[in-house]
Amino acid sequence: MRSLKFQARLLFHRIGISLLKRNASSLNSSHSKYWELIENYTVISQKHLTPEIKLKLITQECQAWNQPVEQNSPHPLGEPFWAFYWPGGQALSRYILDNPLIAKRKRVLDFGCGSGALSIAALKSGAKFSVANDIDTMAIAASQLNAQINAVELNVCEDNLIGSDCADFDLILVGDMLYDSALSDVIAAWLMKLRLAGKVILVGDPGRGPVGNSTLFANSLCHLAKYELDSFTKKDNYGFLQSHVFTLL
Amino acid sequence: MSLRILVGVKRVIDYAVKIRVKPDKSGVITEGVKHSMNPFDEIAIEEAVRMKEKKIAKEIVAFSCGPAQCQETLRTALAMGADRGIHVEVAGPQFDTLQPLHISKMLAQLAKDEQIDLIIVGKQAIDDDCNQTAQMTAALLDWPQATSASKIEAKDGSLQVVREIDGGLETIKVKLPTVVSADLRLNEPRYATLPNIMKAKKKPIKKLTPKDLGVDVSPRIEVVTVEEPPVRLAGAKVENVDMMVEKLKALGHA
Repeated sequence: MRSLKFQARLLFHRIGISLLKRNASSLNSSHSKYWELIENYTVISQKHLTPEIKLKLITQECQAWNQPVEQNSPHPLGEPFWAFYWPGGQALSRYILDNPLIAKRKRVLDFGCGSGALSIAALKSGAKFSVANDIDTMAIAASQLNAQINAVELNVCEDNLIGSDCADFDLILVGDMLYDSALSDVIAAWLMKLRLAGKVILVGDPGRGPVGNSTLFANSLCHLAKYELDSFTKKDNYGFLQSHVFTLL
Repeated sequence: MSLRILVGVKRVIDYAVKIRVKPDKSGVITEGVKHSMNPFDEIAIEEAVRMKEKKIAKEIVAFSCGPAQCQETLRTALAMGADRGIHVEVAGPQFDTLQPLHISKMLAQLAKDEQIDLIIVGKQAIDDDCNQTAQMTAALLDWPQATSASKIEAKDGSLQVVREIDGGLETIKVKLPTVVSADLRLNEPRYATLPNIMKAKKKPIKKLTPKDLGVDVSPRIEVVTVEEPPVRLAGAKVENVDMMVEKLKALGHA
């Protein structure tokens, strides 16, 4: 007769799987209706710190790169943060790929996933699963497209998870999300709470305002790695020459 | 040369919008009306960015004073190539009575706080047409000024500026630090492209209050009334020049 504790664990495990299955049933293609729009504006790029990951991005060859945007008029792609591979995300992806044990068998949350590069890096390193989380529908679509191109299976979530207890996750990845000072305070407070609950928090950042020179994480940020940005990224991100990876102590 | 440049950018009603005066004659209607960056300030930012590209400048700080929507104006400046923004938030009735003297005092304080070498502003704003801010800022800082600039060159640690004046063009040499105001023919500003706009969203904007800069924003000037110009009356046709002269005399114009 199996112990009650074991049965409880099995039950939670099954609930967990069914939650995943809700997302997994249309793995990688629930947002495929946006793919044509994304394809129109982007190309596959490997010119970044993680060339082993192919990403659909807006690069200098794209018309969208060079075309002026009129003040006050919205772009058809909305705010395509996902169409650029931010230096913070690049450094963290590089770190994950170079240190595969970090993500191996872990349940990963890719917070503010953008292009989904971090999820792809985690999955390639043997993560149990990775949830690409972004409140922008186009980012979810882009992440799914990139996951398909890189032959990995991605879970997604479009909810605003700030403040949630992340019970289903072991490893939280935060790639270049600390650029807005008001939002950074909220995110930092949430991440510190998650740390207290035993989650591993990894942050990639090129040294933007809050992370660069303030006590955003109450001095509990531990520097893990520094990467020199490649020439393309440097040109795109005037003023940044390196990008860093931190963990919360 | 490795200058840190402070550029003032003002959020004004877009130049193409038809202005309507409020029924109570207290001002013009601004609610729901399209706003954008003062065109002379776009020229100021463009000049600063070109100086950074020529490696004359190392950092560009954009500054705007007004309600929360000024952040959009600052984002445009960041998208054109400024490195960071400073927003001094003033809203509501306090904003309605804001005048160039207040802005000049803020610019002067920021110049000291941020170790600025060069201040560039548009020569005037298209809403009030004051053409005062650059001059007052220079006076407050006891810096030289080069106003209505149509060309700026860096030479031997100072600036050589060609100014547009009534009689034509005047070339002056000003020592740094200095205040410059941009005139129409200084340059043609670039349009922001998508990657720059996206990157601008990740550049920092610092928020301050007038109190943080020690500036009292109570008005020194009171706007008495704002009225539309008189409606243009219909003209009259005359047969020849003699008749025109007669008509002019009859109307008391000659």
